[in-house]
Amino acid sequence: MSKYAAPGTVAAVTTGYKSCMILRAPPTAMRRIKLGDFVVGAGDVPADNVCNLKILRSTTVGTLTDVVPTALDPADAACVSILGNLVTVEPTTGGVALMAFAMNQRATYRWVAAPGEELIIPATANNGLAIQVQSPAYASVFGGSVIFEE
Amino acid sequence: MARQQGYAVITGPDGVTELRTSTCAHCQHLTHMHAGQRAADLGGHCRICDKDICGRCVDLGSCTPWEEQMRRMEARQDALRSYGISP
Repeated sequence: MSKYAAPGTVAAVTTGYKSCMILRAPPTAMRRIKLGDFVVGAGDVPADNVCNLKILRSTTVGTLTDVVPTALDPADAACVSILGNLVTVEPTTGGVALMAFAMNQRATYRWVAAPGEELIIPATANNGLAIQVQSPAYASVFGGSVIFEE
Repeated sequence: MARQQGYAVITGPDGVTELRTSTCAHCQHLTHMHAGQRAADLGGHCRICDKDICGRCVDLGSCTPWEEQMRRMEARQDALRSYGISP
C-alpha cells in the first residue's frame, strides 16, 4: 500500500453541517482506502467561536471540486482515490457519525491512527468518508489535510 | 474499551491537549479516551470477535465486524455488476 496526502476546504462554514473534505473511492477500479491521519482548522481571523465537526460515511459524490492526492513517495503509482472539497451539493451520508466533537475556532485538531487501526473505506463505487463542520457564529474558510493509504 | 488505537492532538489558545482514541471494531466509531474516564463509558469488549467496541455497538448486542461488513458491501457490488447493474 502507498500513502497519499491531499488538502481540502469549505469556503464558508454555515449553521448547517457542510463537508470540508470527502475522501472517496472512484466509480471504477476501486481499492480500499485507509484514512490514518487528518488535521483540520479554521482559516480566517482568530476569534472565540465553536466549530462542531463530525465524520460520516458517504455513498454518493455530491457536487464538488476534486483534488488529486499526491503520493508521499514520488516513486509510488498515481492515486486512484479522490478527495473532494469546495462542496456545493452534499453527498448522501448515512449511519452514525464515526466521530463528533467541538473545537474552538482558534484551535487545530489532528487525529492519527495507530498502525492497522485506520478508518477504512470499502472498495465500492463512490463510497467515502466526509469530514463535516458547522458553526453557529464562524462563517468563513475551514479546511485541512488528510493522509491515507490505498 | 481501553486499548489505544489512535491519537488526537488539539492545539488551541490554552495550549496543547493530547488524547488517546479508540476505534470500534464493529462500526469504526472513534472515542476520545479522557484520563480518569470510567471504562464503561468508553464502550466494551465483544466476546465473539474479541475486539473493543463502542457503547452503541455494546447496546446492539450482535457481532458484525467492520471487515465483514465491507466484505458484504464489496460482494454485493460485484454481484450487481456481474448482472450488468451499476450499484
